[in-house]
Formats: sequence, structure tokens, C-alpha cells
Amino acid sequence: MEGSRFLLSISNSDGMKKFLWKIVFVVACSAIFVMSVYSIMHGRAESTRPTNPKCIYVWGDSQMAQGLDVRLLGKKLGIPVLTAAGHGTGVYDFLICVENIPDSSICIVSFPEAAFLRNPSLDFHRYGFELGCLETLFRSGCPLEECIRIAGLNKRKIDYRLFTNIEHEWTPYQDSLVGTEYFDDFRRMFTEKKAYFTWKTNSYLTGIQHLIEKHVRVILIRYPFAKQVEDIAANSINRHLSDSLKGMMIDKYRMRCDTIALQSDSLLMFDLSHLNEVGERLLTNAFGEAMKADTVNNRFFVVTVE
Amino acid sequence: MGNHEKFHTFVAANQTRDMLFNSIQFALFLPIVFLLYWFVFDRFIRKSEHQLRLQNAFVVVASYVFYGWWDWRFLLLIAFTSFCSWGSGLLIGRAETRKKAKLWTTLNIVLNLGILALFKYYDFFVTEFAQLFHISTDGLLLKVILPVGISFYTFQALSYSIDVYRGKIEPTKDIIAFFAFISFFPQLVAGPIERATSLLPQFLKKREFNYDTAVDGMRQMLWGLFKKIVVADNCAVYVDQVFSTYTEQTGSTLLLAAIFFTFQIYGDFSGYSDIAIGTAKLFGIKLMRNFNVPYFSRDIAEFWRRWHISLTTWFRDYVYIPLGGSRVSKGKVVRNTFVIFLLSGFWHGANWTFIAWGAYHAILFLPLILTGKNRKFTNQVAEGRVLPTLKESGQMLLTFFLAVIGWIIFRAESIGQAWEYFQGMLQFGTIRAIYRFFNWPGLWPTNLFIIIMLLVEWLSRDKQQGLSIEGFGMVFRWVLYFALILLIVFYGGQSVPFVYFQF
Repeated sequence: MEGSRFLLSISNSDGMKKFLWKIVFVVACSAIFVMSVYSIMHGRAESTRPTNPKCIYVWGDSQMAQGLDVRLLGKKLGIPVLTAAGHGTGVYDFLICVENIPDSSICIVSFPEAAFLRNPSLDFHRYGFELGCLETLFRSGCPLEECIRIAGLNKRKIDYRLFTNIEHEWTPYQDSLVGTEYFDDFRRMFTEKKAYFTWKTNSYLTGIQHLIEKHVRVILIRYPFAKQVEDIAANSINRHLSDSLKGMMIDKYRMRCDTIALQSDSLLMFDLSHLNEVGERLLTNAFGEAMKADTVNNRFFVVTVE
Repeated sequence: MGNHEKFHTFVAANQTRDMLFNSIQFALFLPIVFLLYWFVFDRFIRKSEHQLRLQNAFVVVASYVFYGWWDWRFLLLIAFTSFCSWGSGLLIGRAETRKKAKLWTTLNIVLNLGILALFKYYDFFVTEFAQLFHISTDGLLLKVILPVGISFYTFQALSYSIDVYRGKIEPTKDIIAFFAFISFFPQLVAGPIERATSLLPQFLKKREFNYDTAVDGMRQMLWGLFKKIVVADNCAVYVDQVFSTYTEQTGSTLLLAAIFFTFQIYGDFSGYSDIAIGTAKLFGIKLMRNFNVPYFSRDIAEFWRRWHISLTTWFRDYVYIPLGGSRVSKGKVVRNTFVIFLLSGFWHGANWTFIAWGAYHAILFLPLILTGKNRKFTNQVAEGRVLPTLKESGQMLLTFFLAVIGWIIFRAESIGQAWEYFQGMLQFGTIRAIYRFFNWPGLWPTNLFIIIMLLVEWLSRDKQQGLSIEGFGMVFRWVLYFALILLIVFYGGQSVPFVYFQF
């Protein structure tokens, strides 16, 4: 306000004064107008937020979407399992889900190495508009331009019907690794330093922390990659960083860490980073048993394919 | 790699640095520059005799910051071009004989076109030459990034030295004003391509703030943003999807995408021009009109008088008329017509598609000029009436359709792709595109935006810009402003770089 008074005081021209006042008026009215529309839309969307704490909520990227059969898991545990896992989802989508998970529920979250290491421009980031989540991203070190881009992607999406029990639809199972054409991308993903890794993992940690504060029981799963990718990842700088993050979370949240080793005569990978239908079923069964065995602790599961 | 692909790769690499008119960087940059321009360099230094020079120097600094945001390394290039053109102007002015003046003019033309050719066309010619003679291009290609806006500011610099040679303008000694003329940021990277006779004198005299002009400028910017962000960017989503998978699409989808691209490129480029002209008005500078509702043209000749006016008049004044224009033998008229259309196509980029696009328009234009009907429609369509006659509607539709065909060639990555696209489009069922345009739920918002754009521009077709609505009531005006702002905020497509930046 002082600034605008100063500018108006130094202007002799009536035309300039009138023009500046008009600009201030238009900007202020536009801001109020847009915020009012958003408030109304948010108010209307409140009723779409999930409220049942006696459900298991799932978030993850494509590895989770293709790697956990929510209906089968629901049957095994006798409790509804709803998923918001989707292809290409990123940490912003995770933060949106965190906001919408009811207190004291159970949440299965993937530990998405690929999402941490993927270029942000490839992240889905379309789970809705939430200023608080954008602020978390920004505070985690996400560049302002990226926050604005994400806000732009979500500006018309204010609806929190994110969790469903719809299962991934499989094409008929083929006993072969279908796609290997992205091998070089995966190699680069693990071996090259990624500037966005820090803000992505910081945002993710904030989301996990928020879940813990909401007394949500957190179950993390790290999915496997195909053997040739795992061989490269094993000694890579980025696997080292994600292992450090994993260790830190296990210590901080007193998580029980287990390994689920999938074994079968059939091939278990659909491509370089996703389980196939057989792998999904095997993992869901093993995971369900492990969940039944411990119903109290926060957990960290590392899935391997042998 | 095709031109569009190359461009998107380049833009993706620079995405965090660019300062587009629709970016947050520009939203911060513009008010700062505006306030400094009028308050610091106009108010505080009012008594100084150097006030005008300081204000111009500030324009140069602001423009270089704007340009350097993309890639600061190319600032040296634009400074070099500016300095050489300024120097050549002085040398032409001081030349004792006409022959010497011609020499300096030629040298400047060769220098400017040489730089342009090096950055824009060298790799293309080497590749084509190598293919023709089956030789390897290893080590021969430069693979340099195309400096943004090089075609625009090079042509602007050329116009100065030619106009000095022709005696249309006195050479200026004021190097700062000249640098401001070449680099003035609103029109630096995508035009309008200004003439020295029009823009340079504006930097040589004191600018006064004018309320009505500034408000008009803001309106024009708002309208430009609507055309760019709401119309063009939403069309781009559909167009990019279809063009990247054109072999799998049905004929109606291909035709629909071609129509959408026709509106995309118009919304994009005329939107940019509107923002540029509107921004310049805020600084008391008047830029030339670049588009005059081209899709309401009744024949191709009229279309070319209304599309990218600054470029077409440039070619007319500096190429076509010196070649004799239309006042020569019919054979030479044919030659001259092909020369300017092919050059115009080639100006857009080093790809055969642009040349083919130019040739296509030359073929459409030739019958009109040879029969003396190229200036049949010099007035505005449906002048003094609200609606056009049936005949006028038919003429406009036909011209629009011809333009759509041209844009397919323009948008394609290669001549082969354009040909395949046409083949795909001519499948049975193409007519369904018209039905689908109005009946596909997913496309409705975009269709509606196109209709709004056409409707507003139709109603203001005899005005200087789409949003010239001073005559309407205050309530109507403000409702319209806020409706447009709301549409820009909520319905702006994903940020797509301005198409013409690649040229």
C-alpha cells in the first residue's frame, strides 16, 4: 500500500494516476473473483473426501497400480482396500492423497524410486488443486516455476474422489518381458545425478510425516525392477541415496523392515519396472499374509524377484 | 528430426529460463520495467538533457534482459547486428557517391543475411547437398541452436539500411535509440517486423503517457492472452496428439485437427502480436498492425493482405516491387509472385514443407494477379452490415478451406508426412469432422473458445483490435474483462511456447 502511495505521489499526470488505480482495481478484483470461485468449488468438493477410517488406502505410481491387486488383498484381509495408484503419479499427487486419507486409517504407500528420479515434466501431477500441498512442494525446494506449472495442471480439478477399488486391467498374460526399450533411460535414471531428487524426497517425507501425525498406520513398499536394471542400480549413486532415505525413515518412524522375495518358475516382470499379472498375484498373497502377521507396526517392505 | 520436434526439444531444454508473454517471469518483469520507465527515467531525470537517451538506454537494458533470459550468449549477436546496421547507416549517409552508398548497403545486407543463413539455413543446405551427392555430413554440420527471433530482428535491421540508401530516412547518429529500435522487447522475438521509418523516430522524441492509449493497450493484451492461452493452447493439445499419431487417425479426425491447427496458429501468432502491440502502447510506442481478421477474407489475395502484414509488406517493399512487381510482363509477374511466396515460406524455416507451403500459396495467388483480380476485395467484408451475404459466406469458407490445406503442409514434419496426411484425410467419412466439431463433448470448451474468438473479431472487424469496445456500456465492458480473465485463469491450456518463436 505504501509503495502504491509513493508511486501515485510522484506521478503528476492525472492519466497515470487513473491508470494505476485502474490496474490495482483490476488485479485486486480479479484475485478476489478467482479466489471466491475457488472457495465455492472447494466447499462443494468437501463432500467428496473419503471419511471411512476402516479402510486401507493405497497410493503409488504405476509399479503399485500394476503390482497390487486391491480386490484380492481386500478379500484376504477382510477389509475394503481403495487405491489411488496410477501411472506416472508423482509426489504432488501423493501429498494430495495424504490430505484426503482419514485419520487413524491404514495407508499402503509405494516407495517410488522411479518417481523420485523421473524428470518432473513427466510426472502426472493432476490429482487436484490444494494450496497447502503446493506450499509443501515449494518449502521442500521445488522451483517456483514448477509449482506454478503444477497449479496450472490442476486449476480446474477440485474433486477428491481419488480412491477406487478398480483393479488394473491386464492384457492376457504372456510369459515374456514385453518392453525393454527403455533400458538406457533406466540406466541414466540411476547413474546420473538428479537435481530434483532432493525436493521430491523432501516432499515425500513431509507427506509421510503428515500421515504419522494423523495416526495413520503407514506401510511402505519398494517394488523391484527387472534384473538387468537392478544390476545397474545396485551400485549406483541414486540407489545409494534412496537406500539412505529408506534407512532414515525406518529409524525415524520405527518401521519394521521386511523383504518379500518373489519366486516362481514363470517370469514375474511385465517390463523393466513393472510386475506382471503372476507377479502381482504372488506379491498380493505374500503381502496379505505379512499384513495379517503384524497388525500394529509401521512397515517397510522391500520386494525382490528371484 | 522435424522442425516442430526440434523446436519443442529446444524449448523443453530452456523451459525454466524462458520469458514468454504468458509466463510468471514476464508478469513480474513488465510492471517493474513500466514503473522504472515512466517514474525513474521520466520523472526523476526530467530536468536532465540526457533524459531521452537514458530512457532509451533503459529500454535497451530491459530488452537485453528480456532476450538474455533465453540465452545470454546471443546478446552478442544481436548487439553485433545492431552495431553493424547502425554503422552502415552512417556510412551510407556519408557516402560521396551513389555507388559507394550501394556498396555499404550491399555489405550490410550480405552480413545480416550471412548471419541468418549461418544459423538458420547452413545445416539444411549442407544436408540437402550431401544427400544429393551421396556424401557424408560428418564434421560438416554446425548443429547450432537457432537464436530466438533472429529472422525478425534481422529483417528489421535490413529495412533500416535499405531505407537509408533509398533516402526514406536520415541515418541516425544516436546509437542508443538505434539499439532500442532493433531490440525493443515487445516485438523483439516475434514481431511485428517494424520499419525504421515508423519505429525509429518514436525513439528519437520524448514519449508522453496517454491514459486512453495505455488502457487500449491493456485491452489488447487481454485479448491477445485470451487468443494465445485459451484458444491456441487448448487447440494445441488436440493438434499435437493427432499430428503425432496421424497414421492411426480417421479422415474426420485429421480434418478436425487441421482446422484446429488453423485456429491454433492464428490464436498463437495474432495473440502474440496483440500482446506485443498492447505492451508497446504502455510505453507510448505505436507498433504496426500485424493481423486484420485474415479468416474473414474472401480470396487468397485478401488473406495475404491480412495475415502477418509486417512480413508480407516487407517482402512487397524490399523484394517484389524492386523486381518490378505486377507492372512487368506476365512471365515476370509469375516469377515475382513465386519469388516472394517461396522466400516467405523459406523465411519460416529450413524445411521443404515451408517452401511447399509458399509454392502452394503462389499457385493460389497467381490466377488472381494474372487476371487483375488480386485487389478485388480491399474493403472489410459485410461493410455496414451485421451479417455477410450468402455469396460472401461462401467466399470466406472457400478461402478458409484453402488456408487449412496450406496449414497442413506448414505443420507437417516433411512433404511425405503432409502427403500421407492428405491421403488419410481424404478417406470416406471426412465430412463427419464438421458434425464432430459441434458434437464431441471432449472438444466443446475449445470449440466454444474458437466461436467466442470469431464472434468478437467479427463484431470488431472494422476496428484496430478485437477488444475495441469503448462504445459499449461500462457494465458490459467490465463483465467481458472479468469473463476473459476467468477463462484465462481456469481454461488456459498447458503452457505451449509461441509457435513463431522458432522462426
